[in-house]
Amino acid sequence: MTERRPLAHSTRPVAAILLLGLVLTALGTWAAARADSNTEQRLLETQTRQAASVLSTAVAAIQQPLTAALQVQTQLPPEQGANAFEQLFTDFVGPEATFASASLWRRENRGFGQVETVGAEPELDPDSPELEALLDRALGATTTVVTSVESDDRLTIAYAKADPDTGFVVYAERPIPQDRRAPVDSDSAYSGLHYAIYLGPGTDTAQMTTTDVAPADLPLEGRTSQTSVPFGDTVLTVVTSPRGHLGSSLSQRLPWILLASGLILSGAVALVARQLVRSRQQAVSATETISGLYEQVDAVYAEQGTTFLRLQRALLPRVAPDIPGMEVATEYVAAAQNADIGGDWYSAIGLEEDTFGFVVGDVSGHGVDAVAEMARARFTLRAYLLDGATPEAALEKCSQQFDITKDDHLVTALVGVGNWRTGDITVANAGHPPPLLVGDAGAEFVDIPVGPPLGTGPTTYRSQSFVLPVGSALVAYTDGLIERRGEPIDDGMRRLAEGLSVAEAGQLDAMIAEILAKMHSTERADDVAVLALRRLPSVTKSFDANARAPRAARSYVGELLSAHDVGEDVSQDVVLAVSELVTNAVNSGATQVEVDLAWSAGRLDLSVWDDGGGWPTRLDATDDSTGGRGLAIVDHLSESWDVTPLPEGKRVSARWSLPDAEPAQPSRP
Amino acid sequence: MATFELDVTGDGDAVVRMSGEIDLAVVDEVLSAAREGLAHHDGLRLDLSRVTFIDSTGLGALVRVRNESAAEGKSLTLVDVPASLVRLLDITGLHDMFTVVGGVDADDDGDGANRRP
Repeated sequence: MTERRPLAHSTRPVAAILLLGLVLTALGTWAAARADSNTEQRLLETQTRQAASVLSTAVAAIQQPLTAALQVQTQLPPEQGANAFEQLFTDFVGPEATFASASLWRRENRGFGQVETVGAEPELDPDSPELEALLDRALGATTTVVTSVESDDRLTIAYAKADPDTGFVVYAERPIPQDRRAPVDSDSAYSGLHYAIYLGPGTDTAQMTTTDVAPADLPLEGRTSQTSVPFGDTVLTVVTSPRGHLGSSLSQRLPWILLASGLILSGAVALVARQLVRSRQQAVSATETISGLYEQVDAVYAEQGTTFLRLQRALLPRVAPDIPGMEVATEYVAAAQNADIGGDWYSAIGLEEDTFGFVVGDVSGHGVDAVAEMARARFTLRAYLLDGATPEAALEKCSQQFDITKDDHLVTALVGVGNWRTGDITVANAGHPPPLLVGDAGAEFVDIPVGPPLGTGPTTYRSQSFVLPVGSALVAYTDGLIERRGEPIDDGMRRLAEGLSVAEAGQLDAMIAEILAKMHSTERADDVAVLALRRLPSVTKSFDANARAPRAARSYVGELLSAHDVGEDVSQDVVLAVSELVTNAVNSGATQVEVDLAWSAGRLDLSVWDDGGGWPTRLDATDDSTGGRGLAIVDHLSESWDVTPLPEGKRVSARWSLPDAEPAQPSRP
Repeated sequence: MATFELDVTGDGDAVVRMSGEIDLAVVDEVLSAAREGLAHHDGLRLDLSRVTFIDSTGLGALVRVRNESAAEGKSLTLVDVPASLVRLLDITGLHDMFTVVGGVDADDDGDGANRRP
């Protein structure tokens, strides 16, 4: 019924979400990394500037003695100059001091004369042209002249500062350690940095003066910062690179945190999205499935309802059987609160010529099972009745077909057999409410011995016989009619009997409708079946209009009259009258004759209808006439008679008074 | 159904014994049986003792038999007339047209066959 959709439909949005997550993660990571990098660069540059300023101070400190020495020479007499120079530089020169060698020179006519030397002899040969050129340069410059001197694989920085007014030049040499490495104190400006300081604007390793790394590792790689510090007439170039991360560790870790958490988040979101998409698809699919199921259920219920209805109609004949002399009316009403079909039923069948059977039963519960049980009970009882069983015998035999311990339903039934000619009715009861006898005097329940419901084990039933008076009706029903929630069943029975009187002929349906209306309850939880049998005050029978019709009509009327015990004299007169009237009808060219016999207390009406032409007239037959005496005879026999023209044919009616016409009363136990 | 038997008495009259119900269905048979009886005899006796019913149509047939026998100068006698026919004869006033013998003559509380108006 449902198809699982291809996963591609679900992965597409998930992939999009994942991709978006990854892109956002990458962007975030990149931005964080870039911010961190910028911060690092800024920090590096800041620290480098700080280091450069520290270097500037150091450089100034280095030049300070040179400047001081020149000033001293201008203020002292020449003979004291050398001595002062010596005193001034003693503290600055030595193996551990700032300078290894310091010397005072004075310009002479040709070249320079060495006035005083403190410490070691200069590395640069005092007689060399390099030194003379250097001193010359110092005289021409306004600042300290700095240069490097390479000798014996050592680098020495040479400083020369001159006073052009006096012609004095101070020359000092500062050796660079062999490895040119200088440790970095943790609290110095260089802490956290690798650095390399070069003399001059270049970064040639040969001009490198100080570093904290192995000279072989130079130049510094990675993130570097470069700045220059003025150093005499040249500069010191400082190149730095961070030893580690300069900024906060969070700033450093942030990109990775972002990357990791972004990836995790993206993955999680993608998973959740996938789950959601799947859930939604499943929900949609489930909804479709459920909708489909509901539709199917609806269809099944509708089908079931239709089936029930058809079953109901099949099992409860809408057309009452044609029992002569009896008017039969039936009704089945489904429960007000339960659409399901119930197990109530009624049944009326013609048996032999004079007899008929009827059943009203109730299978407890609703639905197919109840209906199946109902059908079983109904047709079982019907079969026994057709087989000639008495009501009590039919119940006994049927009861053996049921087992209340195995069947889930309780079956009660009222079974009766009647003779429509005599009105004799015999009824047996298996746990069913008593039938109601409705006559001129009102309604009363017929007291019938009540046996157990069907299927309660071996049992015998007792029957009760009574006579159904002409015009009276017997109403059998199921308990749904009298049961009302919260009301004792006796009250329901009382309400049913109250104010009910026999209906007009042909109005038995109306009587049932009246009963149902009176007993109507919107809360009715059970279905109701009602069967009413009324002993007709009139009987109509049709005959083919031929020479045998008079005899057939006589036979029919004779039997009816003998059954109603109207007396021999009246019976003979009526039989003769019907013979005359039917003969007249046949002789008038009719094809159909209908004989209707109606009786009530003290009166009997005979009507003969035919579809023939002509108009019956009472002839004044002479003695030797061979016909025409029929109506004269009817006139003589009956109390009164008349002819009624009808749209089709005519009707001749004749009337008799009945002597001592007391309607028979039902015998009561 | 009605049945008809033809017999002859010692004095030479024909006897037709009818039984059953005499009505429209059997009028032709009544007539043919009676005519057969009349054909070879001077008199006809209709034995009605076994007739269970007769209406005006059956009576009409008897009247025709009576007319035909009278026309031929032959005698017609109804024998053992049942009460229902006696009453019919009374009602129709045809009692005097038939010679009736036996039957319910002794019946004094009914419409006797020998009762004359």
